[in-house]
Amino acid sequence: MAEVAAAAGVASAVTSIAGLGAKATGDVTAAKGTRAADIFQAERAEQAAEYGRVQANLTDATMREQLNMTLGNIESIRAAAHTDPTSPTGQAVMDWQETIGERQRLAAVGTIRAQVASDEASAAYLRQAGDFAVAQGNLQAGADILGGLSKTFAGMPGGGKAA
Amino acid sequence: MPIPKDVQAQTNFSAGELDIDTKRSDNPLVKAGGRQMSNFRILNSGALKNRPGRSIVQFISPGPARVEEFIMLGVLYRIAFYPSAVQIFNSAGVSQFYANPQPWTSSNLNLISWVQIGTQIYIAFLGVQPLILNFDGTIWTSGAFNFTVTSGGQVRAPFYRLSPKNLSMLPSATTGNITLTFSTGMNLQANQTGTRMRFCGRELIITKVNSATSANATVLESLPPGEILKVSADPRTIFNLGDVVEGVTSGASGLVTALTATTVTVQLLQNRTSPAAVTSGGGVSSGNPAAGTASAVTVLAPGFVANEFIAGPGGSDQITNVGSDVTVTTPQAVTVWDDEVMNSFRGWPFSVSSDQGRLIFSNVPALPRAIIWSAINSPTDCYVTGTPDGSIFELAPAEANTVLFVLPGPESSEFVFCSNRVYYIPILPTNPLKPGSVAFQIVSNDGCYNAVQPRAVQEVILYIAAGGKSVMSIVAPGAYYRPYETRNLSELHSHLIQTPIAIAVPTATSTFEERYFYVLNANGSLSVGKYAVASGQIKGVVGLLPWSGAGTVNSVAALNADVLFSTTYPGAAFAVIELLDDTQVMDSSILVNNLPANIIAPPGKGPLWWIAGGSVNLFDGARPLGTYKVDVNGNLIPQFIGGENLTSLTLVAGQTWTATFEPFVPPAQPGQDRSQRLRKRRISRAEIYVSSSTGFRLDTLYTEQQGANLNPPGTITKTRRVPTYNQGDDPTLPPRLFERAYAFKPTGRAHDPRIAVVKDTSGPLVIEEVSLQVTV
Repeated sequence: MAEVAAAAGVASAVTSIAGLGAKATGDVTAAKGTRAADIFQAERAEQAAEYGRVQANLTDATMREQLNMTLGNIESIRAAAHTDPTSPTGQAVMDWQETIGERQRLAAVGTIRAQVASDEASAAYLRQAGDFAVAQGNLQAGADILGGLSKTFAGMPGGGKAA
Repeated sequence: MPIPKDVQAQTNFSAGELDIDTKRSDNPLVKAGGRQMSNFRILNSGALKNRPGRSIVQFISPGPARVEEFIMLGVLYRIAFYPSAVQIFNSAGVSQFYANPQPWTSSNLNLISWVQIGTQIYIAFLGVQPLILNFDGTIWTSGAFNFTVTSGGQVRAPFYRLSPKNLSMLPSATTGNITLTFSTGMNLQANQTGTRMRFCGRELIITKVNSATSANATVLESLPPGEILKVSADPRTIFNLGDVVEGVTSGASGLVTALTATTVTVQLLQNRTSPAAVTSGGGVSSGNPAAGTASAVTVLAPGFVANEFIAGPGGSDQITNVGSDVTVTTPQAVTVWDDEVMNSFRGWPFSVSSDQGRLIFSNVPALPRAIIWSAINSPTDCYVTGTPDGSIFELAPAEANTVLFVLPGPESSEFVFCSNRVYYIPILPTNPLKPGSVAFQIVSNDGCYNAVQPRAVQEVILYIAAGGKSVMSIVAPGAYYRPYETRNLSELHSHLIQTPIAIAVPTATSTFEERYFYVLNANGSLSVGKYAVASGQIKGVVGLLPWSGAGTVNSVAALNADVLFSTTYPGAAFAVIELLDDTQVMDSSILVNNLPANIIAPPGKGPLWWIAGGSVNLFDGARPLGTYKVDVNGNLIPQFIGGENLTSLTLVAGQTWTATFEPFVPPAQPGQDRSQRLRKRRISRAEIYVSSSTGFRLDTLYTEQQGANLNPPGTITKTRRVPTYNQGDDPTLPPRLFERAYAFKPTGRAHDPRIAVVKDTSGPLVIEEVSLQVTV
């Protein structure tokens, strides 16, 4: 009878170990899934960042052009008004417009660039999170295996100790 | 066969005293003018009336003075400019303030330019530092005009590059006492010590001039430093020396002063009118923190930051991000600097005015085309900014030589009177006066006379044309594209405008409806023009005629309906301030026994002590008493004529004048032969229709043949007097005022026969018509 019982215990242990393997595999797979999702999100964020960079550059260029247009208009209007191009007020008005234009440009471009930086940070984070999820999945799988083995051997005759 | 005769009747005298060379002209104005028309005033009806007298309102120091009135805090004051002094009186003639020495002299009082803003008076004069008179409601004080200094040490003065262009300035440091080194060609003068300059928009003051190219200075505002930027690509193929590069991230701008394969050295530029908010990166006051430094500051001169792109005319480069990528260095030698426009070295403006809440300076010695408007409601702030309420510093178009005066005119526009042009600056509620709004629209390519300040009245402005021979007006014809134009008001009166020094135009009427302007010539003669304004235009003809009298008029000014004269009389101990007074028939009129409070005689002296030893004319009410002597104590010497009462409270003493009207006698019209214009002519009969007459005389004047032993032209050859009193009149009563015609028979023949109506006694006279029967 003792041999039968021992045989049953071994069979149970084998079954249990097999279950452990399956669980560990599940953990790893889930982690990989999380990582894949994170990578997808990271790639989206990177795309957004790239798009943002392009938008920032376009905005920068457009607003510079607008500023140049504004300054050119001021010069032409002042010329039509017979004012002297060297007059200090003419220069001050141009500087003032330039200051306002620069401030608006820096604010607009800065906002976009900040969003780009945020997207880039998000992408980096998500990539790290994906890797972390895989590592965590592996660790979880290992922990599951070790924990399962411990329980399996504890349920065997002799508490799993050698006879 | 009798010689044919023409009858000409002149009832309109509105053309005034015309130049003598019009006498043979077919110009219709000749029939409305006169060869002589002195000391009359032209009425709206076209008739001539003996001019108004003048009442003494106060005495002032003897000698020439320029006196004007102003209203401050609702109270009338008078400001008197004497040689080397200025004095303010209240309306009772009591001195409120006196300050000397002042830089003006008797010969240039007319060149003083002053304006009132609130309770302050700003006085500019021939390039010396302006003076401010300040009234606190009780006490007057004075002080030199100085620009506002901010708590940060910035002097709110105007700046412009007056020194030679393309020369560099190299400050030795950004703060403290520094040395300035200029490139060759600079011409620093020893007396530039104490003047200010700006380096890249930041102020410093010169403390010592070491040489033509070197000076010591103290920094008033921290100067922007130089920066050395490490870049990723060789900048020598991208930038050039002198390029302005900008930081794409920081917004900083700098002038490239040196290039190597790996670095760009720049001088940071502080040329913004407002602080550019920089919330990342470094700057002047924060040193040079790396990009993204959390403790960011807002600085006036933002510096470049690591890792940013810098863009210039030739392309862009990127500052590296490997540490020590942006290094602050000493200021670089650049040409971006300018000079203070007004100071003891450069001179101060000749002219000051105000409009739109701003003090206006013009005729700036260092920059004659400059017009500088102060910040709104801050007359001592002339630091140019781009903000709407900030100071404005414009230059008139290059064709203009010197901006002499700037004057507010109709419909809020301002008028710019240059020595060789007149412009207007349109100002509308939709286009208010602010930086960038100034436009110079030409009104006339003729300039303005520098010694006479223009005056605005109703919808027009009167001024003297360059050359000092013509009175001009700016009128509004109503055309959309040409809203203003000029008109000559003194055509055919050029002999009346001789080196003028002042125009006075009352802006209200008082005892008579007619409107006149007064032009004072340097020789003391006064020309008076009657004008009328309708719909922005001078209506009809303007009649100018001369006024003269016993005194020498030193200044004439007007405020509202008042016309104020500063006059000196021979033998008088004081100069007098007089008001034009239509109720008086003499100049320097004063109630002998009812002296104004401020003209009380000293103890032991008579009421005319100020003209002791002289003579005066007397009127007791409307009754003329004739000429009286004044004794050495200032008492009248009685003549014991009938009805004489030298203690009468209505006894008025004054000085009389002679009014003369001499008509032109135009030649007969050409046409069918009557031998007209070919023979000597004779005025066979002259009929003078007068009203309000207190007598006059009619003179026949010599003309025609001239020679060493002959009478000079204009000599009186025959006189007939119409007396003030007729037989049977009571001479102890005021004379009757006659309204009737008087007939005369002048003598002599000439191609240009002459007669004159002369009013040589004080009292009213209106000439309604002069009709002449003249042979052809």
